[in-house]
Amino acid sequence: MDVIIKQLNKIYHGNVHALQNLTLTIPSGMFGLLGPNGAGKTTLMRTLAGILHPSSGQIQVGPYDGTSEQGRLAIQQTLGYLPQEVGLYPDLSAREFLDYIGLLKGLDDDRTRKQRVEELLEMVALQQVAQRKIKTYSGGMKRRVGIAQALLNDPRLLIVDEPTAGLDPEERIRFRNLLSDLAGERTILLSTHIVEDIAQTCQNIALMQKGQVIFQGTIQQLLQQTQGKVWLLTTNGTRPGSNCTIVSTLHLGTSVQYRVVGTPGADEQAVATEPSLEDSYVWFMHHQAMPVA
Amino acid sequence: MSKQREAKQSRKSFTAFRGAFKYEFHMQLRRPVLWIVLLLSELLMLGLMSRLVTLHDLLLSLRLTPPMLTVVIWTNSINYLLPAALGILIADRLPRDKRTGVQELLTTLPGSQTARLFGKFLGSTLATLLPIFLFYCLGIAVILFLSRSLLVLPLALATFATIVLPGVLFVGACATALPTLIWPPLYQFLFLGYWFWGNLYVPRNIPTISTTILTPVGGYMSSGFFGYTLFPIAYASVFTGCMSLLLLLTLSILIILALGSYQNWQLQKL
Repeated sequence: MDVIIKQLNKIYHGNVHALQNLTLTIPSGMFGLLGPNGAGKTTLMRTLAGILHPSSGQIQVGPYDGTSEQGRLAIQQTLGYLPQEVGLYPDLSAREFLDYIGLLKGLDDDRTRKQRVEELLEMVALQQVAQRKIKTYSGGMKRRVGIAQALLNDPRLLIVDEPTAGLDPEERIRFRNLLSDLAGERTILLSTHIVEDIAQTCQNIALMQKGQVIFQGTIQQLLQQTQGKVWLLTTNGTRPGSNCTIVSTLHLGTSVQYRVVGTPGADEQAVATEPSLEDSYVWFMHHQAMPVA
Repeated sequence: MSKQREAKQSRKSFTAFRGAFKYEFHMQLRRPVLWIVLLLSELLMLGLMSRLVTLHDLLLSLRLTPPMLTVVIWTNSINYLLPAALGILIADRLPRDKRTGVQELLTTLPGSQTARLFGKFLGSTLATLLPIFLFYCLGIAVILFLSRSLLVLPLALATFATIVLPGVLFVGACATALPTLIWPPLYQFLFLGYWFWGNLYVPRNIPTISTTILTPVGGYMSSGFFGYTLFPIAYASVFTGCMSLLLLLTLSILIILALGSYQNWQLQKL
């Protein structure tokens, strides 16, 4: 199910432009949405999920028009949504919470619903603790309850907003693997500001900044566009010039090695190196988005 | 085709109602504060009663008074304070969805929002009513034991259904809906004030609505259907009893419908 967004605008009270003429095509499979805090990722996610109403523009989710009331209702039938801060009832157990959301999602056959709940509890490895109240769960376990509720109706469009924020490394890896396994026929829109999550799971990505998409394509295309813009600079401690952004700093005894993105000065002894996704992200955020001189 | 879609939609709405009812009922019933507050309110009520009549006199009067009158008096006593506690205990149910962040999730679900609200309203109201009903049954058991009349049982159910239930549903609907407009602790404070002024206060110098059929303490049903009430109402007949009952039930439904429309309107603004 493709998601096609055209000229989307969202203006909050106080004339705050959260989305500005945003145009984006999201194909089936895992799609990563990367951008700094405040780039408009959550606004876009919430608009696609039908929580927010766009100020103008078009949203097409498969055959449904996401800007009409009917279309929004139809999308909700096929949507799974995991918000940034997943809200759960602390006094219910995971099993009860999933059963509740299953009922609200219209799974009216008791046997089918219970079977689905058990399948999902097993998938997210919570079956052993499914009877415990949610308030006793760790952050990662709560996030897993969140993804399980999003999958109850076997959605064709799954929207997950910053799902790994605040998780420890093992939980993050587990969560990333879970999302990758879920892709296949589904469209999964993964929003994050953690570059590593995208690098490990997505082929197609978009970079957002100030409510706009500044890049859309594959990770390979993104890396290609950053070829020749990543450098290793070794100095006696002098920091690189202002037309470079430091990605990392490595102290080597008497000298310091900087990994920089940008255009080093002619007097700086820079050696070109292969860009990583993080380098490309920094390049687009700090250099590409700036007007060309 | 259209009829099929409508039937499917109705089924989904009913399922959403069922889900909200079931789990709101469970969640409310599991709150320790519910049992503590109601137990304290019941002890307070018994304490107030014991100031008016000694245990010896009470037992004597229970033996001498016709069982029907005793049941009506007991039902009226239940309605004196306990629905006020019920209203206070329900006031945080809807704001809690926002506080816990569940509201955002609920907004993305396909089931009817109004059906969900009705489920929440009925589930939490009936769960809060359950400890009151158990306490009521305890009193009825005492009356049954002393009167040895099995007529007490159907009569107790009839008085509870007609005197207590309509008012409780009205109080529950208000407590579900109004805290979306005002801060819940303020609502609870104002509601307590309303309870004494608008239901128990005998009109003297300050105007009150306690003598109108809008009063949820059930005085009109009690007096109109069973011939006696403890509450300060004007003349009541079967007709005014029916009017009061229907008004309370209709208002309860309208309040929840209005809440659904209000929430939809708020969502449209986002």
